[in-house]
Amino acid sequence: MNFAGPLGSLRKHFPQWNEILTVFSFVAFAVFSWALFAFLNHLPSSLLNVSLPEIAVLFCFELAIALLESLFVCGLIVLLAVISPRRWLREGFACKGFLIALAWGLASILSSRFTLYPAQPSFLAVLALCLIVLIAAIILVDKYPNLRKLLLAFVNRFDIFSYIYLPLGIIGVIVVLIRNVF
Amino acid sequence: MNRISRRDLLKLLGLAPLAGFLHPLQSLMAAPASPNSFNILILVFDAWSGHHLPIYGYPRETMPNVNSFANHAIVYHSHASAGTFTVPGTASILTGLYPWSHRALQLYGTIIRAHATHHMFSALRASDSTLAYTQNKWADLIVDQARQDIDTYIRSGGFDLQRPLYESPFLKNDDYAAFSSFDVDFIRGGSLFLAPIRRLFQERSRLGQESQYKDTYPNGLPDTINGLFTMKDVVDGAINTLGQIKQPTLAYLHFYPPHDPYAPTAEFLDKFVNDGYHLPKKPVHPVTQQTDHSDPEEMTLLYDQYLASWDAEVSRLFDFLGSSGLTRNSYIFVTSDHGETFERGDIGHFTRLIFDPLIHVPLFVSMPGQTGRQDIYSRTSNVDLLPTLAHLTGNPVPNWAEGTILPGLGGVGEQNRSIFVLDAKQNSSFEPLTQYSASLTKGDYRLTYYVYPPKIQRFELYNLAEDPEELSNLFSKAGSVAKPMQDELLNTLLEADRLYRK
Repeated sequence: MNFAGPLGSLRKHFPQWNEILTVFSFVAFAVFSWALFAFLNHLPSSLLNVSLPEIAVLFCFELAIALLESLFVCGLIVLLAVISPRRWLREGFACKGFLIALAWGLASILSSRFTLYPAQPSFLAVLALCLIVLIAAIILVDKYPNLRKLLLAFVNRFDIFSYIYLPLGIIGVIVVLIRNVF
Repeated sequence: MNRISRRDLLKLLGLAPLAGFLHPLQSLMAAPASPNSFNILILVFDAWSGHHLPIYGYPRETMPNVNSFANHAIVYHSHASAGTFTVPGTASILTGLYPWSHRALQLYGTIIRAHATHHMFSALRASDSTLAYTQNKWADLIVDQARQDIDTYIRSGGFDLQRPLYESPFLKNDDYAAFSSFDVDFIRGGSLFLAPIRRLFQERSRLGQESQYKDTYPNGLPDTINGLFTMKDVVDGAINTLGQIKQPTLAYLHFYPPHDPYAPTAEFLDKFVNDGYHLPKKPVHPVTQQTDHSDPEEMTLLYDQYLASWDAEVSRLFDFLGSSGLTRNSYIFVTSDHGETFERGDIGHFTRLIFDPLIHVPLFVSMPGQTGRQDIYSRTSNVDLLPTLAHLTGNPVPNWAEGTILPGLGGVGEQNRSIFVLDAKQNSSFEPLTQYSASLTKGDYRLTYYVYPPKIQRFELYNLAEDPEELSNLFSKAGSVAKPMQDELLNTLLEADRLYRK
């Protein structure tokens, strides 16, 4: 049987592989940095109160969650690109995916800073504001190729971090699995 | 007589490492503590102030069923918690130590390593099976430290409507790590990308649950912050759990009600409305931070309605204890980890203040087969629970315990005994105490010391017999009483802090 036809057709709906990797690298950089910050924030008291093996387990949990979150977020952005018209996201995916991740992260930080409960109007207002800024940024990137190049040059700098964070995340997942499954 | 040769000695020394393996068998070899061992059941209601119970003089009939239970128990009229919120209060119940020793001082705080194995579960390990359940996650972190001495452990969300992610059966071996990473960093600290989505899902789930239970809980479901619950489910869970224990068992059950948010059931929503009761007027205290600006009268009403709702539900547990025979073969302790306040500018218990509504907690102890009521008026503290349990079960009272055996259960009541309370939630657990509130109650007097540099450093002295509402600060007027109490409080704190001073 020849799968080239249907697979090729499906493949056409996906962004370029190297562009997906670029977006993943940025997302992983943001998520792992955030997780490491949270871990290091608690480390001084953990050292006095929790044994070293327990601290190592805590660290592995943070890494495992960070990897799963990075994959989930990147997957969601790719899915968005697959189901939306080609011109919206697939063209220049690395740049637009980066903008989506950036807006999403900012919306998350702002909403957790300024609102306590999701039902508050301010929570939805923050989300709406970030969505408007994101759409405007994507339009600008489409209109000005130089701006896109500039952003790409910046985003590509994050690739190096995925070489560190990805293996760390995999180690974290393995430790969590070993401790809770086997 | 044959002399031991050098070779024999070396052979014997070769067996020495085996001693290490034999150590865990010691508890199995120990003789049972007592041939007539009873169960010990400890029921803790979170944030339950003695000031709101008619048995202690409150004008509203908030808890008639608890009152009925107390009529067949020892009633302690001057019982105090050792802390003013869950973490230090619960840690003191479990360890028999004051907060300056166990150092579980802040939210998310746990007992320091030096005392991590010092708790009631290890103290009674030789004589009793052990069971623990606490619905309050912050108390559960402390219970989690004792897991190696707990035979049956029920997770904090065990009887709730929603099980948090960290209580997934998949993560059964890593409770603490899962809670710390998922809850503290991921959800509450905020996952960078997924936090808002998760919050929206949680809100959707909450609204769905609340609409399902709207007829029973018109003001919203009770909420532990980590999950919604119904009081019926929690009591059912407790009944099922206690129905399966094998004598003798030490069972510690820590229920979230009447902790805020107060969620009275529809049946009690009109209770006490316009009944003519008003809070005593008290000025705003200079140390208060006034974090809650709700109307204290309204919040008191809600709290009392919630107490009545909890009382109606928990009466089924008391009925079960009777019908199952547990009242005949168990010592049943009913108490709280701390109280609740609605005065001087503060509402709830997240406060720096130390006054009676926050630290005067109920304590009722039903002895096996007890039929009448016994009243004890001498001053007691939650740090006394552990030595009392050890005494009742025939175990040695641990030398690290800081309380004494409760009067009526083998101890001698002393009216002039010193009872301490410490709140140091702003202080590091691993540094000397520099920011805290501490009180010493002795005889009729209570001395309180507030230290929050650079602006606050003040002593207050109240005569509890003549001024039970603690309105008239006698510190500058009653030097002969104040000075020795001041010296005792400061010296006690200084001594407790010795390990932490460089």
